[in-house]
Amino acid sequence: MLTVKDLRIEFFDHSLPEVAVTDVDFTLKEGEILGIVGESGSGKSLTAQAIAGLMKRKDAKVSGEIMFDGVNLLNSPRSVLRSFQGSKIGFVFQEPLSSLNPVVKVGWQVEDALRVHEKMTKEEMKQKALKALEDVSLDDPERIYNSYPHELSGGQRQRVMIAGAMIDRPKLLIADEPTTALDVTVQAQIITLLQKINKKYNTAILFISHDLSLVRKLCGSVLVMSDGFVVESGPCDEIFTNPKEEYTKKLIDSIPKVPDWKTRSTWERITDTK
Amino acid sequence: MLKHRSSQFKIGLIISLVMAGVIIAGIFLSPYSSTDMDAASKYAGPSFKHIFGCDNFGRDVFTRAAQGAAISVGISLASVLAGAFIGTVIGALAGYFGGIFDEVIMRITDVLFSIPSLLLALLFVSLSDSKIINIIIALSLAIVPSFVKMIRQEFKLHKEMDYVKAMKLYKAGDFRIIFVHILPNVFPTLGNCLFIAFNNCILAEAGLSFIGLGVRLPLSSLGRMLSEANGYLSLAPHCIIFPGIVLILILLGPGLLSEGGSFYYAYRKRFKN
Amino acid sequence: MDANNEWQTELEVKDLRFSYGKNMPSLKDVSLTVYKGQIVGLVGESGSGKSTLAKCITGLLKPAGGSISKNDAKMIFQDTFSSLNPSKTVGFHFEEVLRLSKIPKEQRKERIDRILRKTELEEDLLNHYPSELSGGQRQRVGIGMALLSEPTLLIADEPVSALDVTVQAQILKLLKKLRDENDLSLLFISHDLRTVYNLCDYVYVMKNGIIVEDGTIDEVYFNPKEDYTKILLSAALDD
Repeated sequence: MLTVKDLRIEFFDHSLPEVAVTDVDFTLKEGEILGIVGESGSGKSLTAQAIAGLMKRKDAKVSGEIMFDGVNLLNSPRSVLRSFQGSKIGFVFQEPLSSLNPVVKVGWQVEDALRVHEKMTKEEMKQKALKALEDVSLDDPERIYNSYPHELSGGQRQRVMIAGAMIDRPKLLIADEPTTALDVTVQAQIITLLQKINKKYNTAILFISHDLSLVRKLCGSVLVMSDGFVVESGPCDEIFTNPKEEYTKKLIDSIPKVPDWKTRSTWERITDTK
Repeated sequence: MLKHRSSQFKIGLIISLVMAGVIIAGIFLSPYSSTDMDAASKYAGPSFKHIFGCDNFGRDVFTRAAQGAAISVGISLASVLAGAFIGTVIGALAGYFGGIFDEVIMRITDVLFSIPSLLLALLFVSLSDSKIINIIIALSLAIVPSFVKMIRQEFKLHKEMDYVKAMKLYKAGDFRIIFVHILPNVFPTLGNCLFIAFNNCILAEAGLSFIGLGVRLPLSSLGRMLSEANGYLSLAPHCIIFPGIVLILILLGPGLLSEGGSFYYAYRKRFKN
Repeated sequence: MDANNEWQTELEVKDLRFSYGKNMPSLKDVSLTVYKGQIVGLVGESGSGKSTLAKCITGLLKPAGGSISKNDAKMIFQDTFSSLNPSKTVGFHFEEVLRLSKIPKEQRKERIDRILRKTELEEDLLNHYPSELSGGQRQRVGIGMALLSEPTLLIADEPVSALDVTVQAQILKLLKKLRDENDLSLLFISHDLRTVYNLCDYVYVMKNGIIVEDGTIDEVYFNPKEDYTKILLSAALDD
C-alpha cells in the first residue's frame, strides 16, 4: 500500500545544505503496524511528515519516491495531496493541546476531515463525529463534542485527535510520538486504543516514537533510524531479541530494565479496562 | 529567508553610512554656512555650485539640509537613548517584581498610551519654551510607555524560566538577576525597539518643527525647511524635494537595519535555532 | 527499618500543606524523609504535586503549613533549555555560582576544573553558549552548577525525561557516581518507573497531593499495597 523509496530530505535554510534524511526505504502493507524509532535528530518525524505531504517547503528539498496506492505523493500537486490528507492518511501529532484549536469546540474539529472530503449534512456529520468519539473509548461523547480543548485532560485530547484522524476511515494512520506528552497510565491506554483501531478497521499504522518499550508493545515490524539513516529494520521480535547493529544494541541496552519483574511480583494485576 | 534578511541589513547599513557622510560633508566640507544669504541666487535650482539649489533667502539648501538633519538626528538619538533607558528600567522592575508596583506603572502607561504621543510632546513643548533640551524631554517622555510595555512583557516571560529560579536558589539578589541575568536576553527586542523609536522620533521632531514648535531660528531642521518651502512650492520645488528625500533616507536606513535584524544576527547563535 | 535509625536524616518534611489557585496541584499533609547518601524516588503522574513539593523544599514556594528541616537544597531542572541562561556562556554560569557563594577569585578556576572533571565535560565548553551544546551536555552543566555550591542534598525534577534514552543512561550513571563519591543525598522526581527502579533506594508514590505509598524499591515494585501503585506499575512495566 505504501512504499517509500530512496527518500532524501535536505534543508537549505543555512549556508551549508543539511541532509536530514538519507535514502530511507520501506514498505507498509495494509493493516500492518510499523514503528520508526530513533533519538532526536534521527529524521523519524521528517520522514513521517514527508509521507503526510507536510514537507512542501521552500527551504527543503525532498527527493525519492513515496508511492501510496499507486500515486507518487512526492511530485503530486497540492490538490492531489489534499484529497489524500485526512481521508486516506490520518495524522496524530505529539502535543494534543497545540494541535487542537483552543477557541473552537472539539466536535467541529473532529468533523474537519468530513467537511473537506465528503458532502454531508450537519446532522450526518455530527452523528459520525459522535460515533468516532465513542470509537476512541471516550465516555459521554455528547459532552466531549460540545467542549473546548482546554476542558479536557491530556489523554482525552489525544483520543479526540485520534477520533479526528480516523473519522473518514483512512487506510493509514501516522502517529508521531502520540504518547510522549502523556502520563504512563494514559500511554498504555492509547497504545491499547491504537491496537483496537488497527484490528477493527484494518488501518495500517506508522508509529513514530523514541520509546522502544512502546514500539515493542504495539508494532509488528520496526525501523531503527539514526542521523537520517535507517540503521536496521525487520520484525519487532527479531530486532529486540537479536539486534545486529551496534547502535540498535546500544539503544536497547539503555532502556532501564526491571529484571524478573513478572516472575518476582506475585500480586494480582490491575489493568485499566479502558 | 536569511539571505533576504542579510541583504536588507546591508542596504540599510549603506544608506545609514551615506546619510552620515552627507551630514558630515554638509557641515564640514560645504563652502557655505547654513545662514549665509546670497540675494543673487534666490530660488536658484540645483547646479554644481549649489547641488540642492537655494531657498528664498538664497541660502544653500544642501548645507541647511545637512545641518538640519544633524539636529534632527541628534535630538532623536538623545530622546531615544533617554526614553529607552528610563523605559527599560521601569519596565524591567515592573515585569520582574509584579504586584502593586506593576499595577500602578501599567495604569500610568495606559493613560499615556491613550493620548497620542505627538500630542503629548506638543503639549509639553508649548507649555515650556522650545529649547532643544525641552524637545528632547518631550520626545523621550512620549516614547517611554512603549518601552515600558515591551520590556515588561519580556521580563514577565523570563521571570518564569528555570534559569531565573536556579539563580534564586544560588542566592542571587533581585537586582543582579534583573540586570545581569535577564537583561541581556532582552537585547534583541530592545534593539529593534530602539530603531523603531528612533524613526518615530525623527518623524515627531519633523512634525513639531513643521508646525513651528521645533528648534528656533536661526537653526534649521528638516521639518522647518519643509514648512518654510511650503510657501513657495511652485517657485522652487527643489527646496521641498531635497530635504524630503534626506528625511526619507534617514528614516529608511534604520528601518532596513532593524528589519534586517542586526540584533537578530548577533544573538541568533545563542538562542534556540 | 532498624538500619534507618542509625542513619542521619538529611531532609525531613512533615505534614506539608500547600494550596494555590486552581492551576497548581495542592499538597495535603505530605511527609517524607531522605537519609544521608540515599537516593529517594518520588513518582506520580502529572498534576500529582511532585513538582510543587520540590519547589516547596527548595524554598521557591512558600508552604501553607507543616515543616521542612532544611532549605538550602539545590535543584536540577527538567527543561535543559530554560534552566540555562541563553545569553551567557557555560563558564559564566559556573563563575556566577562561585561568585554568589563568595568564593575568592583565585580559587574559582581550580574548583571549576574539578567540577568539569566530575561531570565529564570538556574544558573548551566553557566558552560556549547553551544553544551550542547537546541536551546531555546542558544537563551536565546544570548538575555541575548545583555541585559547585557543595550541597548535601540535590533535588532533581525529572532531570532526564527530556533527553534521549542513550543520554538518559549516561546522566543516571553520573548521578549514581556522584552519590557514591560525594556522599550526596538525592530526591529524584520522575514519572518513569523504570528509571526510578534502577536509580533509587527508596520510593514514594504520590497522587493528587497525597503520598499514597512508600517503601524500599523491592517492597513497592514487587509487593505493592495500594491499587494506584499497582495500576502505575502495570502500565509502565507490563509488556
